[in-house]
Amino acid sequence: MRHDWNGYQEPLAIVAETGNRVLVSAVNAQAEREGIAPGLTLADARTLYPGLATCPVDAAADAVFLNQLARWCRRFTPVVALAPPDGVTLDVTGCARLFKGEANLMTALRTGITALGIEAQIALADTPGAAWAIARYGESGTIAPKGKAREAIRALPVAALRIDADTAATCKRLGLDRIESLFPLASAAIARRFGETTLTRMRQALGIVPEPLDPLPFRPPFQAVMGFPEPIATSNDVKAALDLLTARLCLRLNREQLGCRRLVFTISRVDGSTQAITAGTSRAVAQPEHLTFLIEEHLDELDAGFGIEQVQLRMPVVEPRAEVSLRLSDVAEPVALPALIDRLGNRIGFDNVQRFAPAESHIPERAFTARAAAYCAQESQSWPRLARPLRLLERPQPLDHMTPESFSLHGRSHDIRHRDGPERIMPEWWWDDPAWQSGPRDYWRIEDGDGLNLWVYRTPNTHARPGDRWYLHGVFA
Amino acid sequence: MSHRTRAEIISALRQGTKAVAAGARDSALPLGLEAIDRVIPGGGLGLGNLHEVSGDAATGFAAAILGRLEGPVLWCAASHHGRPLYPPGLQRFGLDPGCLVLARAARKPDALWVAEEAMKSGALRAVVLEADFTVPLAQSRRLQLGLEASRCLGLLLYQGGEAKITGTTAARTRWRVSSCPSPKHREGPCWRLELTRNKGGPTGQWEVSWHDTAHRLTMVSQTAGRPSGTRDAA
Repeated sequence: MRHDWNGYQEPLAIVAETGNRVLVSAVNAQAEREGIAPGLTLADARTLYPGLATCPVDAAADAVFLNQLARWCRRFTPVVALAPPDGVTLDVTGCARLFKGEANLMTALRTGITALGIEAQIALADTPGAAWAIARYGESGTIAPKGKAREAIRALPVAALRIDADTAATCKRLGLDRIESLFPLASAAIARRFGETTLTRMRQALGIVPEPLDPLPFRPPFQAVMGFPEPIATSNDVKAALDLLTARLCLRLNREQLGCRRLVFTISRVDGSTQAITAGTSRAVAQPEHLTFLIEEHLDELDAGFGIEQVQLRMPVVEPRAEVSLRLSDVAEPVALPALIDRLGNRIGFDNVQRFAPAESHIPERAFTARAAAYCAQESQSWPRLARPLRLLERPQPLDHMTPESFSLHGRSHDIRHRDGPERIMPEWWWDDPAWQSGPRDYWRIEDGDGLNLWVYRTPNTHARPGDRWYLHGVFA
Repeated sequence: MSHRTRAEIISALRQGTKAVAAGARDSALPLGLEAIDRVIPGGGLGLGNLHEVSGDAATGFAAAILGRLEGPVLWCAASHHGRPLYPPGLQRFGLDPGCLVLARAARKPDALWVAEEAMKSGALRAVVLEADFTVPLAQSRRLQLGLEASRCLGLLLYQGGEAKITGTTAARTRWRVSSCPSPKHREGPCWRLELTRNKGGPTGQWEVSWHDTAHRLTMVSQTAGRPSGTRDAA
């Protein structure tokens, strides 16, 4: 199978680095005409055609592509298996009659694949091994008659048996260059001389030993649709339909141990327009109440118009459920809380629903971290026991006329009744924080004449500047 | 039926009524101060009820109340006037900052919605709505109804701003908490508690101090304002 590289008309080779050599791993038709074949070193290929364009191999993208192709092949049969790196095996047993014969099926397959821009070698035979051999070493489009696998692969080279290159080379050296030359040999002799694999491969191709396919798992999309003989318009009806659809999908989610991360509820109105409500969850959820909860509160935003004739619920993103195992030390968190956090997050934004965790820093602003509550569970962590205010000013406010007995804030004078301190906090030199460029701070807890507890600081290193600079940074109560 | 069994039935019934009384006590959160708990019907701040707190030391008092509860707490902050809640500071009030879920809702309808949803969800032990606007009577009634269903404690915290807190409300109690000068050997802040509304009980005024390490309130003076005995007309 060769991908037509966006209609590139010059010789092109896909190259892969193996050890310290660069080998050609695939070529286009133009390069093939120049005599360049997979397996050559790039240097040799360049000798044959100096202007050869090359492109590094991307195995991951190839695998993804092969997967997509395999999914596309599902239109011919439900049993589709990958034959990496470059093949797809289809078990069309019983499917040919749907296409009115194997020949028609092959034609449909070839037409479809050509329309995708892929040049493919296709063969149909009794066994996956025989089909593999004919597709790669025989004539494309061959249909080996039923029960004639032996005849179909007889004339093909030994390499067509899916054996490694070394074994194939050994066979060739011994003069066994065709598969039929192996037939007269005793099984034990083949196994001894060329390995058990060669024997198995041959027997699989001939259908003597079964070769089960490993088909791609078939998972229909998580989607449920409900149509109405008479258009519905009331929110109660829509709600009832939503409940039914959710219950149906959740049943499947539970059976497959999956959970929904995103769901889309779409209504189709009689006038042909559609409206959708989208909701997200913070973790994989399979409780119908939780999911209907998220959609329900937006039902009012839908405009039924002249009526709704169809509703659809889709779960575009499903994930395996992470079942949390509780440790004895954990605080048992009510199940309802994650559902509530999801609801709040869907309305005010998941970043605006936070949990806190202590952080290793003495800088007050960085002594804790705020994380989105949806993505972290309640943890019992120990917080340092320090005299810290209840509220921290976003921007410290300068205090004027600071004396041991009084200070003024916003032009109002306050007495100082108590003071505790100082607690010196050093800036973190590895962190370039503009707010802390004035150097270390001496924090005091002071109480004014009204009993107000304040957290104030002074920057001793800027003491030389005119006026003693004091700032209010927090309030205790 | 013998006399003995009848006595047994009576004693069983007595046990039952005791259990009911104990249940009633469980549905309230005592402040731990006899003088105050006695005044509030139910023996403390009613769980499943809404309570209003305002004044310059309202945050501290709210934290002290929440610190007496076990379980997750949602703090819905509608505004903070440049003075956001500082989680490490909650520790002094016996409240584990890890139990706290903070919801920031800048818009008034969002804040009210978040508070209502949280209060009726039943997933939390307490919900605080920190607001700089007056919660209208109808809204406070909605919150109160949600709380009754879920048995969680609701606090309306008016901090900063010019919220008018004299209007009618569905809240069971209304507190004004202001700082007051503490005695010389202090262990924490001192507050003047003014109970200006107390449904089914008298109002009152006390001076209490919070003990930062023992995590409890102690009475400083009751003379500053004895329970006036006048009922809130509202």
